[in-house]
Amino acid sequence: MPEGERDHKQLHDWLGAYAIGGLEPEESRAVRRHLETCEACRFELQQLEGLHELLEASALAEEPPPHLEERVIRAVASALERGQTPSPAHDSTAGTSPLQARRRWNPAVVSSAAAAAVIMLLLAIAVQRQLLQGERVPGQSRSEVASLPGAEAPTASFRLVASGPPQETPVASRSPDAAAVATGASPALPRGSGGSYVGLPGGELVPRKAPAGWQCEITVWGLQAGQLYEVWFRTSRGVISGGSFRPASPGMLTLNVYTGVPFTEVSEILITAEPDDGDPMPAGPVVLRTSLRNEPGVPAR
Amino acid sequence: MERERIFGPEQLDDATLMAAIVENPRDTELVRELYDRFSSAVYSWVRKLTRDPVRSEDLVQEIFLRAWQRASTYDPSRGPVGAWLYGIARNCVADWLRRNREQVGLPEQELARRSTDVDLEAVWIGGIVAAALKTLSAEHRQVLELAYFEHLTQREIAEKLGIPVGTVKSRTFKALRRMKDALEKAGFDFPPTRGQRSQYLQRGGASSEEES
Repeated sequence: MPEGERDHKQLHDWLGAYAIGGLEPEESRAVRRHLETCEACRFELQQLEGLHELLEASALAEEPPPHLEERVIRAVASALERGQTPSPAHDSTAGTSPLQARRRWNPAVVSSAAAAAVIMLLLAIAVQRQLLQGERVPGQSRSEVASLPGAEAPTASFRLVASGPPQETPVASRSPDAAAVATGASPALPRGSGGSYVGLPGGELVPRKAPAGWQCEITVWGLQAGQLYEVWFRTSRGVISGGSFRPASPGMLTLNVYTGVPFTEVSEILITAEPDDGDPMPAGPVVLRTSLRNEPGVPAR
Repeated sequence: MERERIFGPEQLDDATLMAAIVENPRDTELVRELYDRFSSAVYSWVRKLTRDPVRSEDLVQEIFLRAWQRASTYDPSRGPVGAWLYGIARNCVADWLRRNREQVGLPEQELARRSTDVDLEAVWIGGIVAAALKTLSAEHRQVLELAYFEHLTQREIAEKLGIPVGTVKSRTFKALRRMKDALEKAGFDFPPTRGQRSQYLQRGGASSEEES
């Protein structure tokens, strides 16, 4: 190995120690000489700039006493018991409408957050459609999703069908291909007079690849206003929550659910009606479900 | 039985964690995660501000409770969660001072002055960095802690750990890169265009959260 290259390899490894002032004086001089001629190492060192100041500040930190964590959690739990939630509807001082607050969590915002190995997450109720305006515009909310960096064009959508009790065999079990509905086609929506949807609850789901994991846009209708619902992903390792939502009206609602669980691992997506008891386990009946695979998933519970 | 999680709240980044709290208000595990990430910052700051352990605990509780209640006011486009929480904390202290005018031993103005003290900003930032340090592997954390808390040189660290000094150097480099990634995730910029502390706390007018 040429001497210059060997020096570079060694001195490159020293950059961290150099940045935090941990080298012996003669070693520091060697690094400085190398930096004069090596642009790659100068760049590398520049990337660490600012780190030293932050690490020095960490020495000022003091750990809280261990019991304080439980005290904080108890305070939140008792606020919950008193009926408080972080919902903007209960927070008159927040100064934002519920819709504004929710809209902040649009896909574009979350995508940067998702860059890490994000998981499931976050159920952003993106747009609550007004039924009185007539037909849903299929492309509208998707344009938000399509603008997501790395998002691919949708390939298929899945029909969410009303379900019986949780133990019951899924009403419909279709392969993605068999279940595919032409992209952009409006689902056949049951419509009653006066613009409200009638009949069984239903929905449509469009999965898309996202930068970390994937996301699906779920449109549901016919659910009960005010009822707490939860989205679940069924995988061979169990059921994972995708978050909960509470429709303000029985009309159509579009949710964007992001998940880090690989799409190929999800066999079924379920929506349950949950009691307001704070129990994180799936407890309520399955109201909507869609099978993403031919093979049956493992039992939900 | 606990709900099975393939991914836990610890894998959510800060902004997503806040969104998850808003969407899952009853999931106290999410609040616990928020506490784990920011309790060093909040506690260190409050402790230095009041210099009173009992008051500190009251205030820490109040700050996290308020952060939970107002989680939906966090706007990721305005700055990192740690800066938003700093605004919440300062407002909590101001409210607390108003309520406890009589009991607070120190003159109100003195505490109010302290709450904007630059040294206290460094304490807050230090708490966030300390929490990020905890996310590193034990090996990586160890070399940085020995360098920063015990002020050892690379050679001294090698002697203390009984490993070659070359290993300490390459480990330090890797640890710093990991640390940089963790801090970028927490909202710090590398390289900083201004001082790292002020850039972090002032970005997006964090402290104006409730004053506006």
